[in-house]
Amino acid sequence: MVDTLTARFLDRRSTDKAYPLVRNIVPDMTVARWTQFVRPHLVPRSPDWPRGVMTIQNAAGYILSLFAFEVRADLHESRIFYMDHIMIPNLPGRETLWASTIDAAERLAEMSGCRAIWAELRGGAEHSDRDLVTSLERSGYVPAGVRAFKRLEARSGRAGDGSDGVKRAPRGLYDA
Amino acid sequence: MHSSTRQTDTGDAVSRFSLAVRADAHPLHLVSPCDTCRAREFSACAPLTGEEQRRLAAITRTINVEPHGSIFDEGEPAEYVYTITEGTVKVYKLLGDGRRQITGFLFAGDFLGLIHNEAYAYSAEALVPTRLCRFPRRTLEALLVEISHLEQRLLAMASHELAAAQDQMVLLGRKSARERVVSFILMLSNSAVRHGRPGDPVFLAMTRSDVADYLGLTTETVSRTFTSLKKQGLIELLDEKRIRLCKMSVLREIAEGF
Repeated sequence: MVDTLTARFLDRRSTDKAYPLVRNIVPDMTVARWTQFVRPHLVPRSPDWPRGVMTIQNAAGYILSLFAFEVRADLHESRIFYMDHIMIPNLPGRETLWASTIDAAERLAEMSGCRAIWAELRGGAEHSDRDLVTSLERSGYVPAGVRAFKRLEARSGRAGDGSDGVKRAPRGLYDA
Repeated sequence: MHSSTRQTDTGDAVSRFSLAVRADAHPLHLVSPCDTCRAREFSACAPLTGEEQRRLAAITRTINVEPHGSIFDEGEPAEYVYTITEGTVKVYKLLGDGRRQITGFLFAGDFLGLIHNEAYAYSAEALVPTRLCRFPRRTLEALLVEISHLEQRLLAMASHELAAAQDQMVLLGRKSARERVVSFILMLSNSAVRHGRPGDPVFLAMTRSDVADYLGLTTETVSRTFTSLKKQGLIELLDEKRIRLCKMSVLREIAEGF
């Protein structure tokens, strides 16, 4: 990790600050949707089963990357550290950011008593790219299992419309 | 790179020409633009050795943009990275209804277009006469692999549009118009100091309308807040563009919401 990069938990006060990074990765994201998504992650289910959002920040406190995490019970591994919504912008030095992000996840997994890490690469809107795969492989990760995805057809506006089902009139970047 | 004639309302050929963006190549046998760059000391370029500086200068073009001139538009292929060596730039996104949302201001020493996808995710426009170094992205990225400490410094400084947008989110989190305006003034002051310029008086390159857009306020509210701060003796409006900070400790308290 670069000396000036630090891993810090996202908290309620820094939720908004993380938004520009999220919008960079998911361009149509609104503040409201981001806040609605992230708030539950900031409250652990219990002290034994932590979850949250970890950020990588530079010395000035700017958030350069983040990921959501959760410790889950796993039939095979007992406790598994699950990382998802990995958001790292496409900028020079991103390999360093990947390395810092993976390092933060592994340290947190160890602290949480986990025996394995499951890193979720979604591709598509979140731009999982070859840098991520390369960095993970360098750190000893291997592809495992198969995850299937199907977007459901919208029925009565209740599912599959790509949103939370709430109809809103967009007004600006910071609402809707 | 395109000219900024699209910003000209009724200009004739001469004024359009004078507004056009100029790109000046710097052949190696001439003076390197880095030798005379006033922002270098405060930018990511500062730790470069002579040889590294020469290699960077070899892929650099200096761009001069007049006030209101476009540097790039949202949706254009993100082919170039810029560093501002003089002036101030606003970055903004166009909303669905045609309005603009300013998401940040960038100053001498800051990078522009560093974070990208295939296309620029926002537009960039000069607020005052602005000079930039322009680098072809792919060439720069290839060079950064070899000059790794420059790459590390770019990460460490994060002086780019993402940082500017995060500053804005912090400001928007302030509750009252007064807190937002004062926080903004102090942010400009701190930024000036960080970039080697005096923090007082604060230079406002942007219009009140730009400030309002950036802070999520109306122009009238911004103007009223400036006037109120002036009446209380907290600031002095030297002219339209310069503000003297009279009671720094009180201003800091206001910014923090006390």
